[in-house]
Amino acid sequence: MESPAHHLPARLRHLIGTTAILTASVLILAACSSSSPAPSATKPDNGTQLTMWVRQANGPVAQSLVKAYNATHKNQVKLTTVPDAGFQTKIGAAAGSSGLPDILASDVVYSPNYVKQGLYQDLTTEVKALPFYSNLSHAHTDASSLNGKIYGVPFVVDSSLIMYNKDLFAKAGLDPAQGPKSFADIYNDAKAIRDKVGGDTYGFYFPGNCSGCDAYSMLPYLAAAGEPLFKNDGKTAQVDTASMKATLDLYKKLYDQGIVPASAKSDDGTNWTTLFNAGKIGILPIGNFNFGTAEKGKINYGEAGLPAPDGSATSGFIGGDVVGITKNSTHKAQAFDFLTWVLGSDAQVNVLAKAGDLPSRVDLANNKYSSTNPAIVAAIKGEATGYTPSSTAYGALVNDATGPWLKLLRDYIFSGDSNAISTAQKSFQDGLNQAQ
Amino acid sequence: MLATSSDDVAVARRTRRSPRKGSALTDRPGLGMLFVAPLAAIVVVLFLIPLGVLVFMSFQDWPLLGGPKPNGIANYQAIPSNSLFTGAITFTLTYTALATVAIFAVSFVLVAVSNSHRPGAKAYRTAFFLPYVVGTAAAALIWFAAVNDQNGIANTILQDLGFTKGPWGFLDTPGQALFTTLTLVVWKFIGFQVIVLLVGLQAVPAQLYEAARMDGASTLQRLRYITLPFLRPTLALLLILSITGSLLAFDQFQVLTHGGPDNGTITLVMAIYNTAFSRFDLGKAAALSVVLLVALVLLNGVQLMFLRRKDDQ
Repeated sequence: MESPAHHLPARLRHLIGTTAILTASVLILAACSSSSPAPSATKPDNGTQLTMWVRQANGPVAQSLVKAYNATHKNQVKLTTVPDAGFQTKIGAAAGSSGLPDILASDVVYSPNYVKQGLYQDLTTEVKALPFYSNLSHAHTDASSLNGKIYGVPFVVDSSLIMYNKDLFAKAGLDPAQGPKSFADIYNDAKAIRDKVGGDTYGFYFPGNCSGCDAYSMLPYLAAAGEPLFKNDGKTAQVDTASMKATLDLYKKLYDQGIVPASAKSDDGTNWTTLFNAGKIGILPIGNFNFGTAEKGKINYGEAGLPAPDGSATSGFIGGDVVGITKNSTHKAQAFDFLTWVLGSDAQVNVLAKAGDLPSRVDLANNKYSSTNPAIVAAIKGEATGYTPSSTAYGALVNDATGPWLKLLRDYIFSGDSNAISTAQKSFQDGLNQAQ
Repeated sequence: MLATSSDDVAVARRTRRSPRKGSALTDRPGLGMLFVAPLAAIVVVLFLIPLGVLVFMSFQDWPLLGGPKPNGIANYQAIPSNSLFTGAITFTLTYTALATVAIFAVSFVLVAVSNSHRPGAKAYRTAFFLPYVVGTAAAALIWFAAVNDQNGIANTILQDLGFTKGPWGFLDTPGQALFTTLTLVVWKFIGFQVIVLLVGLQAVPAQLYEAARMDGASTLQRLRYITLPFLRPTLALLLILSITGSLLAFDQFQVLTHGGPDNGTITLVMAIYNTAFSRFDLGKAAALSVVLLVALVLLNGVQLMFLRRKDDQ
C-alpha cells in the first residue's frame, strides 16, 4: 500500500498551481470587467448615501462644500481625500474593479483621460438644462467634453494671471495702476524695476525647472494669441508658432539680462512665490491662489491677464478640478443634485467666494465677498476668456518633468538651442499620435 | 517502489534513507509540508502571483485606465526606443558605482573611529546609525530644504564661510545634483554599513591577533591576513546589498531631483514609474520591470558565484 503522505507534495504542487491560476484569473477578470449602472431613482434628494473622491490639493475646499451640502440635504455625501501622488493609480485600480465612487472630482488636465476611458456618465442634457449654463467656466466643460458630449462640470476653479508689486512699480517710476499689457510692457517694466531698484530686487520671476508651473503661467500667452498648444480635441500640437517663439524669446532675454534671479534656473516650483511674497520681485506670472499669501506678506499687488505677445488679448489657464458622475454610480439623479447645488449661487457665494476661492460662474463675479478685492473680480471675469489645454497626453507631454515641454523651455531659455522649438514640435506630435 | 505491508514500508524507508540520521519530521513529509504551508501561502500570494501578473501584464497593451489587450512581445520590442529607460541605464550604473565606493570608503573610516573601547565610542556608533532610521523620502526632503537656493542652510553656511558668493546651486546641473544625492545617500545609509562591519570585526577571535603579534606581524599584515579574510562574508553581503539597493534607487531622486535637471538624474526605476504613471502604460512598464528583474537576478548570481569561489579558495 502506498502511503498517502507520498502524494502530498504532488497534490500541494497541484493545489498551489490551481490556486495561483484561479487567483490570477480572478484578478484579471476583475480588472477587465465593467458593470453597467442600474437606473437611478428619480427623486434627487431622498436621503441617498453618496460617495465622492477628491485629490488632496483640493480636499479642504471639497470638505467645506460637502459639509454645507450635508447640513442642508437629506442626501449625504461621504468624501474621501486621495493623496495627489496616488490619485491616478487609485482611479485606475477602481475603474478596473468597478469600485469608483458616485462622484469623482479630478484635476481638470487629466479629465480628458477619464472621459476617453468612459469613466464618467454623459451629463450633456442635464448640464445644458441648467439656467446658468452659459455662465459656467467653459474651459472646464470643454476639457471634460468629447465629441460634443459633456461629462463634467467645474468644481474648484483657479486661474493663472500676472501679479505685480505696485510699490516696486512706483519706486521704478512706473504707474502702479497699470499692469503690463503686452510682452513689450513686461520687458520694459521688469527692466525698469531691476535697473532702478536693483540690489536683491528683480523685475521678473519664473521657476525654470517646473514643468507644471510654467505650463500654467505660459500657455495662456499662446492661447491669447489664438495659437493654443493643442487643437483638434488634443490631436494636433501647435508648438512651432510665432507666439511660442516670442514667449521663449521674452523669457530668455529676461533671464540673460539678469532681470530674473539666477536661482530661477533650478527652481522646481518650491520657490515660485517666495521672493514675490517677500517683496523682491516686480512681475510674477502666477495664479489667484497666491492672493491670500501675498496679502499676509503685506504685498501691495495688482493683477493683469496674461497677454498675447502684441497685447491684443489676454487669457488665463483655468486650473482646478472638474467633477462628474462615474460609470459605477447607480444614483445619477442624487449625485447630480449635489453637482447642481455646488454650481448654485448659494454654494458659489457663501462657501467658495466667502473663503476667497473663485466661483466658477462669471455672472457671480461681483458677489458680496469677491467684490472686496478687484483682483479676484478680474480673475473671475477672466474665466470668460480662460483656457484649459485638453489632451489625453497632457500628463506625459507637459506635466511630466521628463517630458518635452520642460526640455523645450530649458533648451531654449538656458542653453540657447534655437532648434529646440522644431524638435519639440516633433516630440509633441509623436506623443499625441501615440496617445490616440 | 510499492510496499505491500507496513513492515515492508518501514524497511523500504530505512533503506532509502540517506547516511545522515533523519528526524521524525523527515519520516513524515506531509507534516513538514503542513508546517511550511503558511509561509508557502505567503510566498505564493505576495510573490509568485504578483510576479505572474507582472509577466502577464508585460505581454499586454494595458493602459493605466482601461482594460488589457494581448500584444505579444511588442512591449519588449519597444524597450530600445524608450530613450528614458536606455538613458537611465548609464546613469544608474554610474550612480551605483559611485555610491558603493563612497559608502564603503566612508564606512571604513567611521569603523576605524568607532571600533574601540574608549569612552565615547558608543556615542559615535549611535550617531552614525541615527540617520538610518529616517525614511529615505523624509531624508531626501530634509536635504531638499537644506540645499534650497533661496533659503537653504547649506548655501548659507557655504556663503558665511566664504566658499561661494551666491548660492552654490546644489541641484543646478546633473553633476551637482548627483553629488548632492550621493551626500544624502552616504549620510543616510552609512550607519547600517558601519554597524554590520563592526559586528563582523568583533567576531574575529582576539587570539589570532595576539598570535600574529607574537609572530611579529605588522598592522598591515594583520589587516591583510586576518581581518579581511574574516570580513569577507560580511563585505560580500554589504556589497550585494549596496549594489542591488543602488540599482533600485528611486525615492531619493524622485524627491530631491525629480530626475532633473534636463533628465540628467533618471534612474531605471524612475523610468519604469514614469512609463506606468506618467505615460499611463502599465504593459510597457511591466516589460521594463521584467527586464530589470532578470538583470538583477543575473547580476546577483554572478556576484554570489564570484564571492563563493573566493571563499572556497
